[in-house]
Amino acid sequence: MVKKKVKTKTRKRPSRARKSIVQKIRTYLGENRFKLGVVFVVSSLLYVIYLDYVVRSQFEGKRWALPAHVYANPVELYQGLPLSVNQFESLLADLRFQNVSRPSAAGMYRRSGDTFTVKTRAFTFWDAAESAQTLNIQFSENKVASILDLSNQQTLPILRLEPVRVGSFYPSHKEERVLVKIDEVPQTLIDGLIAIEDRDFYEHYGVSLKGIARALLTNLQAGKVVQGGSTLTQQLVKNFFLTSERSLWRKAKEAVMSLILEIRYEKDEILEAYLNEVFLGQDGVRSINGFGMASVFYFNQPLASLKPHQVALMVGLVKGPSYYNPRRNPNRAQERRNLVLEEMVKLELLPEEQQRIALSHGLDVSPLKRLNNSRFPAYLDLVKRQLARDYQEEDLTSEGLNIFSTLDYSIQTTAERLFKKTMDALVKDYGVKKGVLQGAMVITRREGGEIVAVIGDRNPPFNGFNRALDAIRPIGSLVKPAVYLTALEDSSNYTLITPIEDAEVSLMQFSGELWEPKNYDELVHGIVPLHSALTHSYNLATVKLGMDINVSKVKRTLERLGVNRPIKPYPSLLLGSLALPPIEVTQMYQTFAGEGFLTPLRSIQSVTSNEHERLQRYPLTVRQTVKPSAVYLTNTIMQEVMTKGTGRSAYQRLSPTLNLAGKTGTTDELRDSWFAGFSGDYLAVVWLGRDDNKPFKFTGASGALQVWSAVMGAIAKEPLQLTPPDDIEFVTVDESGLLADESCSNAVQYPFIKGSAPTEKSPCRGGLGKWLNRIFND
Amino acid sequence: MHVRLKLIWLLGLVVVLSGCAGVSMHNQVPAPVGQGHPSSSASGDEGASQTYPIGDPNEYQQFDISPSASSTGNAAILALLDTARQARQEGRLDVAASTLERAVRIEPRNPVVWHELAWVRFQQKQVRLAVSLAEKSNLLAEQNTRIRVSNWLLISECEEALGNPVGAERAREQASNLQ
Repeated sequence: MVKKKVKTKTRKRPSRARKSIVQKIRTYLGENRFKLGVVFVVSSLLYVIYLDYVVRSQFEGKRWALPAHVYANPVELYQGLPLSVNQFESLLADLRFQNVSRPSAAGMYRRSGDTFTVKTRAFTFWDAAESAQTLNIQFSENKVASILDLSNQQTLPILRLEPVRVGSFYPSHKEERVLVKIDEVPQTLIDGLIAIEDRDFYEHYGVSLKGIARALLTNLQAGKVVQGGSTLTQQLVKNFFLTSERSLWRKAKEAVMSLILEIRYEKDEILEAYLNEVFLGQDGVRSINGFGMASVFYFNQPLASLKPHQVALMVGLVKGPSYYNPRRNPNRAQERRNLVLEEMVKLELLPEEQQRIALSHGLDVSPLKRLNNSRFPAYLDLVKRQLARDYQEEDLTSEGLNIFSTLDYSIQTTAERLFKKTMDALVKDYGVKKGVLQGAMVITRREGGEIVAVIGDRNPPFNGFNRALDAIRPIGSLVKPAVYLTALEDSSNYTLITPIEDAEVSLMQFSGELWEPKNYDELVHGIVPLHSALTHSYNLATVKLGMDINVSKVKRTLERLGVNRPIKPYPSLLLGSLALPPIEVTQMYQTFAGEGFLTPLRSIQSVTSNEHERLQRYPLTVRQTVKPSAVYLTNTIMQEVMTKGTGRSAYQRLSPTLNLAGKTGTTDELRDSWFAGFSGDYLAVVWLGRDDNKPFKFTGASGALQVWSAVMGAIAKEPLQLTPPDDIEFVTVDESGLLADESCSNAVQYPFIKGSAPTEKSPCRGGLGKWLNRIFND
Repeated sequence: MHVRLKLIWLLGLVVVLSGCAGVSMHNQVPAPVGQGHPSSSASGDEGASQTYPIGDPNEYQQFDISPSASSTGNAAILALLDTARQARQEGRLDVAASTLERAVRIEPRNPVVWHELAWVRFQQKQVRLAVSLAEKSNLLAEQNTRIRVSNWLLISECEEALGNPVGAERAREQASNLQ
C-alpha cells in the first residue's frame, strides 16, 4: 500500500513539473520571438562566415602537401661511352620506357639489333630543360656508336636522359600527385568528366537539383548507378574539406561550402582543383590523386599526350578507382570506359569516328612497376641528413621539392647485389654463424667527391641501422697512410727508402699500463725501408716512425685529410684506435684519391621547387690541404700494397692493369675488417664486423677486401694513373739506398721529392754492367 | 533599446571576424622553402664559397684556351665546354658551372675543364675556390704548358683580388718561366 502511494506520487510530481517548464518555455518563446530569431540568424551568419574562412584559407593557401622526390644522377650518353646494349635496355626499363613495335609517344622505344629508336620524355633539370626528342641510338662493341636526332638528322654530341626516381619523402599521409594546370589538360578529359559527373557544371551554383533529378532518372532507366547526383563542386568540397561521414548535417555543410566556393571562385579554378584532388587509385601505401599522377600511374605518360580511349578510362575511374581498377578488373574497367565514350558521343562531345577508334583499343595500361620508396634506404638517409641542415622536416615532405642526388643507379644496384653475394659466400666459406656478420660500403667518384652508392646493412634494402653513417668503429691500419704521409711531407728526413726500425715497442700509457703492440705475424722484421713497412702494414715500424715524427703531427694530418672528429694524440692513434664511420673514412681517403686536394663529399647536386625554380646548388669544391708530392709518394706505396702487400689478393679477381691503390685495416682480435682503396674512377670503403663488437674471423684482407674486389671488379673501368707533381723526380737507387744507374743490378727507380734523393753514389755505377752495355750497343 | 545595442555589438563582431578571416587567409600562403647556405661538406669548406671583390668580372679576358685547344677528342666534352662558354658570355654563371661539373663527371682528369671551372668561380668572386681549381688543373696539366700558363695567370689575378701582391707576382713569374 505504501509502495503504491509512493508510486502514484512519483508519477504525478514530474508531470506537474514538466507542465510548468513547458509552459514557461512557451511563454518565453512567445515573448522573445524576435530576439531568438535574431540570435538564430546571427549564429547562422557566423557559421557561414566561419565556413567561408575555412574554404578561402584552404583554397587559397597551400592546397596539397606534395612529397619531395629524389632523383639519381642522370645518365649522359655520348659517342664512345662504354655501355652495352643490354645495359642500355635495362636503363630504359628502369626509366619505365615501353618496348613497342612503333614508338608513337614519349616513353616508348623500339629495339632492332644494336639500334634503338627512342622517344625521350621532356625533363626539367636544375640548370636546363631537356625537351622530348625522337632519337636513333646505335651501339657497337659495347659502346655508344652514335646518337641521331631524327627530327633533323643531326648527330647529337651528348644526350642527358631523364633521371631515375629513386625515392620520395612523404608527409604522414602518402598522397602522390603531379599537379596540372587547367590549360594543360586535354579537352576530351574535361568534356568527358563533365558529361559523366556533372553535366550542368558551367550552369549551377555548386548544387544542382536538375542534376540530382537527371541522375535519378538515368540510373532508374539503366537499372544501375551510372551517374552521381553530386556536382563536381560538391565532390571537391567533400574530398577537400569534409570527412566521408554520411549524415544530413554533413550534406548541408557540403551544400553551403559548395555555394561559397562557387561565389568566391571561377569555374575553371574549381575544376582545376578537382582535377588535382580526385582520388584515382592506390599503389601500396601511396594513394594516387589527381589526373596528372593517374596518367603516369596507369599509362606512364604525361596527361597532355593521352589518347581518347585512355582519357575515357580515367574518367570512368572517378566513380570507383578500386572497383574499376584496370589492372585488377580489366573487363569491368573496359565496360565502364566504353560507357563513358558512349555518353560523350551522345552529348556530341566526341565524334563517332573517334569513338570507333577508341573502342578498337585495349586498355593500354602500362605494367605496374611499384615504386619502392625505401629501395636505397642508406643512401636516402644520407640525402635526408644533408638536407636537414638546410630544410625543415615539413618543407621536405610537403613542398614538392625535386632533389637531384649524385647516386649512380647502376653502380648502387650492382654494388648491392655483389656486396650481398660476397658476404653470403664469406659467411658460408668461413662457417660464420648466420645473421651476425654485418657490413657497410660507401663508393664515390675519385674526382669531385660525389657519393655514388651507400650500403648500410648486409641486406642492403633493409631500412634499419645505417652502418655506413653510424657504425663508428676503430679504423685500425687504415690510419697508417696518414702516418707515412706525415713523414713524407718532411722530405728532408724521410723518403720512400728511409730505413725504419721494426722492433719491439713498450710505452707507458697515461693509465700507467704498458702498451706493447705486436705485428700481425707476431714477428719482428728489423730494419725495413719505409715503403715496405706500409706495404706490409708493420705495426712496430709504424709506431717507431710515428713516435719519431710526433703523434700530434699525425693528428693534424688526419684533420687536413678531412677527419672532423676530435682526435686524441695518443700513441695508440698510430695503429688506428681512432673510431670513424665508413663515410668519414671515405672522406679521409678522398683526399688521397684527389692527390692532396680535399673534396667535400656530396650526395646532392641541386634542389628545385615544385615549379622547377632552383633553390639550392651543392657545388663541387676542392681545397689543397696536403702536399701533392707527399700524397703522390704515399699513393705509390698504396699501389705496392696491392701488388706485394696485404691487398694483393685483389688481383685474383681484378685486372692488374687497374694499378689500384688501397689499404687493409684490421682491429684487435679481428673485431673490424676494413678496406679502403681506389681505381682511376672510383673510391670505395668497406667495413665488416659485428654490431655487438665481438671478434669474428676476418682480417681486412680476408673479409672487407673480398667484398671490395667483387664490387670494384664490376664498376672500375679506368686504371689509376698518378700524376707526378712538378717537384717529383725519379731516381735509380740500389738495394742499400745509394744512387745507382742502369748498370747496377737490382737497382730500382723510385720517386723522390726534389732534393731528397740520395747523393752518395753506389759503387756499382759505371761498373761491369755499363761496360757490357757499351759493348752491345756498339 | 537593450536588444538593439546587442545587435549592433554582434554585427560589429561579425565585421571584425570577417576582417580577421581575410587577413588569416593571406597568412596561409606557404613561406618560401628555407634558403640555407649551399654547404654540403662533411668536413666543411667555408673558405671556398666566400666571395671577394674582383671589380667587374667582364673586364677580365680569359687567356687563350679555347675548347678546341683542349686535349680531348671527346665531342661530348667539346660540346659541354662550348655550352659553358656561351652561358658565361650570357652571364649565366651558375649554368656554366653546372655544365662544367657535367664535363668533370665525364672526363675527371681533363685540365681544361677544371681551368674553365676556375674561371667561372673567379667571375662569381669565389676567389679562393678559383685558386684551388686552377691548382688542381695545374696538377692534371702535366706538360700542357699552355694551360699551366693560363692557370698561373688566373692565380695571379686571384691573389691580387685577395690583396696579396707578392703572391700575385710569384704566380706571374711562374707563368713567365713556363713561356
